[in-house]
Formats: sequence, structure tokens, C-alpha cells
Amino acid sequence: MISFRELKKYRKLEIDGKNINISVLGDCSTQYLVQALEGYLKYKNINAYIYEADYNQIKLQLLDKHSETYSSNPRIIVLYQSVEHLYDEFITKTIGERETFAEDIIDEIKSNWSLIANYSDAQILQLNFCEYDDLTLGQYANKTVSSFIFQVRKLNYLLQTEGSNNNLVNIVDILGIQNRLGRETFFDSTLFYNSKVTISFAALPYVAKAIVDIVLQMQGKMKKCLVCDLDNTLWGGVIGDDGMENIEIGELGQGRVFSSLQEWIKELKQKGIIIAICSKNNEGIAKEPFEHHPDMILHLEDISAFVANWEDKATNIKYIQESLNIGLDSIVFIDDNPFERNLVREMLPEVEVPELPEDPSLYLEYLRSQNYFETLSYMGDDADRTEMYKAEFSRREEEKTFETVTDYLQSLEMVAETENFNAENAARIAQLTQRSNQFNLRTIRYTTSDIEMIMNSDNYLTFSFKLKDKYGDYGIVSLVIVKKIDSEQCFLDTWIMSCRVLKRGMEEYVMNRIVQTLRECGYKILQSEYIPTNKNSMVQNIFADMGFDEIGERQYQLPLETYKVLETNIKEEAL
Amino acid sequence: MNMNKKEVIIFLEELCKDIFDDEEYTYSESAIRDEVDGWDSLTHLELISEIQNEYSIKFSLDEIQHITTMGELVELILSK
Repeated sequence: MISFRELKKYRKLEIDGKNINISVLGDCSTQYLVQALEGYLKYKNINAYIYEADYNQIKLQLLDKHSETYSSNPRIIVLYQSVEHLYDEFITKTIGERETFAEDIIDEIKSNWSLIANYSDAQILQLNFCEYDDLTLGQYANKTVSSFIFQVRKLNYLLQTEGSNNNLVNIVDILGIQNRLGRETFFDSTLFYNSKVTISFAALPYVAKAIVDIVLQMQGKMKKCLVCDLDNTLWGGVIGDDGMENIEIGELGQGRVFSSLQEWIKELKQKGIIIAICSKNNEGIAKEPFEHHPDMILHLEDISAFVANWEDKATNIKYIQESLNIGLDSIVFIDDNPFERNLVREMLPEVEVPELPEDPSLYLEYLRSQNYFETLSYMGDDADRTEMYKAEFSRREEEKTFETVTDYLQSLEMVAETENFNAENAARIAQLTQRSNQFNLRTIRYTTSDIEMIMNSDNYLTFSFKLKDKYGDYGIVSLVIVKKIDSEQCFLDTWIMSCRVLKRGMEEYVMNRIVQTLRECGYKILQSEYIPTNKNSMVQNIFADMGFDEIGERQYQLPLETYKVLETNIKEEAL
Repeated sequence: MNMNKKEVIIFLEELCKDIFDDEEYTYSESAIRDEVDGWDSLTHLELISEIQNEYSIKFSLDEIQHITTMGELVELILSK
């Protein structure tokens, strides 16, 4: 982990790009935390303006709608209520009050959240509570409702349940960090008694990372795909030399190590991470264990892209990335071989390549400790996207057999369905605004609560588009937010499309559909704008293609009355 | 621990440059806390933390609070 001192150096760097405004409120000394946070944000290439409230001003700041916390217009408010301060409050209570202490505190926290929701557009990052016991009742405290440890643990539990009901809130798991580092490392008594600092210098970078991991998600910088080497990464031994019977998986040799790793990867898959294989092997030999080894946890159906050949791994990862249509920076590549790791780092610097420990029994703990797969949402049963990405692979294969693109597109038998944003799709819509980088006109990120606000407002028209073809269902592939300006004009605030359906006629279909609706509502002009990022250059010409006139630098408008319906092979779902 | 005063001072000078964010910083035995540019209550604790890590020693709260000059800090390190 990067040290606090290094983070202070990063803090001084100048970085291009706009600031993200963050307010930090704590009931203990937060200066070092803010320094670490600034440093870690810059370490991850993010500029931030951080407003740090005075010591122990949480309630005062949040109650006053004109406070500095709100007037600094924060995108994120970090709330750090320390367990040390909590204890000071706890001991002033009667035994009776202590028994409901956690409930009383959670009510207070919830009222803080409501104030923030009322007075700002900020997302909340609530740090949970480090657990410790005052040991005035020994271990008996564990079954004593009025004990501190009982109430702190309950409070953390309540934070989870309340957090799960509130889209504005993200929990920063500093308790998890304390568990990993140990209380002795996390908390430095001399530091605390000297100046009410509750997180040691050693622990600060971890806490800063935990916060920044969430900030990165809000900026759409998430990992979507895990690419795995095979020999000595997913199993022990070399399949080509040792044969399937002798690779270590399950009970053989150090096989349990690899079984655990595979179990973890399977869990990732179920949470929505795409799993790909990249191995220097003959394809048939490499696939054999996936098909026939009784102890393998991962099977071929879990793998979206299986690449085994003798090309270099950078070329293969590039191929996987292009076939799956995802960003290089959304890929994590694991390989036991330092040569391969360095080659990929050298050729594809955007790919995240963990420096795996030498001993395979340490792989899993190391990978977990890096927290590569932070997320802001989870779709439950719908999270697993393997089938979708596998279908994408089949389409690519078939594409090669057609003479013309039109023939191919017709053969796909594509059918689209249009909906407004609604309670069921709001979370997925928000996720798309957070994750889409390439086909994205303005790259405005919305949270689920933003989307809910938009869909319930009369000032917006919303569209989400689903697509399916003979290979399968793509799910939601495009979304559009139109903001009303006046009775005749409106503004294309957001248009996002999944790159998987690019150049299949979906652009045309979406535009036809929006124009149709806007005309029905009596609009005459659709305005829009292109905001360039370093990833969305693919949409810079979309306006011209769709019939918009350029009326200023990156400003466009479409006269709706003279719009000519664009050709497309996609049919409307018959309802 | 067998530590040479000169080495400690050299280490401290480099460390202070970094932590006080002052490339010009030079060690002076009699320099007083809060009168040295960059040596405030915040950087003081950082300084202590780095020294503790470097020499694998631990200062007591009382010691940390009563250091008023660089000379005293050096003596304290040498006494550990």
C-alpha cells in the first residue's frame, strides 16, 4: 500500500480535468484523512476540491441549508463518526438508554441523510464503525444488551439494513480495514490522546483507498472483466505436460488453493463480472479440464471468451477486449508468470495486472485485498451477464459468413422494445449512465436517485430501449433523456448506447423513435451538444449522421418537422 | 541502540525537508517548534511517526508533547 507520505506528495500534483467537489464531516480530527484523501484521488488521476468542516460540526453543518458544506456544492459528502466519539456519548447514558443506543444513533444518522437529501444533490459516503470493547464486562458483554460492543455491532448491522434502503448512501467499510490490519495498527493511542486523530498513519491510505474506490465507480471507472491465465493460475501444474489427471485442483497436491480461487471467480461471475481465459496452450487441451475434470469449479459455460493459442498475451487480451466490446481499463488480468504480466503491462498499460504473490496459496487473499470489483449496484439474479457476452461471441463468428452487412443484419431478426424509465429499470439505467463511456454524448453520470427524480419530473421525457435477436436478449441497450426547454424546443440531455449493438441500425431506430414521440408532443426543435472525453470520440459525427445541423461549436439542432425517417433493419416489438 | 548523532541529524534533515515541505530546511539544534516553517502540530505528529518507523522506537505521549526543539528531538532519539 502506498504510504501516507507518498500520498502527501501526490497531493501537490497538478492534474488536468475538472474538480469533483467533496465535503468531509467528522466528529474527530479529520485533517490527515483529508490530506490522504486528496493524495489518493490524485494518485488515481482525479482532481478534487475538498471542503473540510470544522471539528465536530456534523449536525450544525447539515441542519443549516446555507452552510459551507452545502454551498461548496458537493457531489459527495463523507460522514465520519468515530467509534471513540460514540463511546464518549455512550457512557453518558443510563443502562436503560444504553439498551436502545444503536437505534437512537441510527435515527440520528438517518436524519443526517435526509437533511443531505433535502439540501444537496450529494451522494453520501458513510463510514461504518470500528468495533472495540471497553472490556468492563469481559466477554459477558457479548450477551449483554446494554454493553458497548453489543450496541456497536448492532449499529453496524443497522447501518447495513438502512443503507440497503437508501440509494443516496454508500457504506465505507472501515471496520473491514480494521479487521484486516488489526486494531493495534489501525488505532494509535498516542496520536489519539495528542490530537483526537482516530486513524493511524499506517491505516489512513487504506481508508482513503476505500473512499476513492467508491468515487471511481461514480466516475464510471469500474472493472467489468477478469481475464485468467490457466497453468499455475487456475490450477497447479502445466496441462500440456502433466496431463489432465495430474493438474492440481480439488484434493490433489495444493489443489484446494486453486479450488478456492475458482470458487471466488465463479462468485464474481454471478455478480456480473465477465470471465475470460487467455492461455498459451492448444485450445483442445486447455478446454479439457473445463469439460471433463470432476473437481473443476469453473466450466465452459462460465467463460464468455476462451482464447488458447500461441500468440502473445497482449494481442490476445486486445482481441478479447474488442470481441466483448469493453474498455481495456475495465480488464483485470491474472497470471502467475511475471514475464507475461510485464509484457501485458508494457503493451496494454490500461489493463490492471495484479502483482500476484509467488505462493499460490496467497493469490486469493491478495486479490481480495485489492478490491478491484467495487460496484454501486447489484442486480441479484439478473447480474450474471455471461450468456449475453457469449451470444456476442457467436454473432461475431457468424458475421464472417455473410456477403453483405445488410444480409447479416437481416439474418439477425432484431426486435426492439421501447419503455419509459420506471421503478424496475431505474437502477439499471443509472448503472448504464455510470458505466458507458464510448457511445455517450455528454457523459453525465446519474445515480439511481437522480434517475428516479428525472422519471418523476414533468420536465423530462425518458426512453429506454431493449433489443433482442435470434441469438438472445441484449437487455437494455440504449437510453435517452430529453429535457424540455419550452413548448417547442427540447434538449437531448443524454444518449447512451451499448457498444455491443453499434452499427446494427440501433442508432437509426432510436432516433426515429424519439423524433416520432417528440413530434407527437408538438415539439419542433431538438437541441443537443457533444461533450468530448478521451473515450467518446466515436459519437463526434453522430449528429451529422442523424441529420442534425451544427449551429455552434459542438452545438447541434434537429428540425423535427423535416426529419427524414432513417433506414433500419430493427423491428418494433409487437405488444 | 547504537546510533550516531551525525547520522540521526542527516536523516532528520532530509525527513524535515519532506514533511515540512521546505527544500531549504537546514537543521538547527536550537530551532523551536512553531517557529520553524512547516513544523506545526500536524507535521510534528507525522515527523514522530516517521522517526518511530525508521528506528523502530516508540515515544511516549509525554515525550511527544514536550519536544520543543530539534536538539531535544535528536537527544530523545539517541536515548532510545
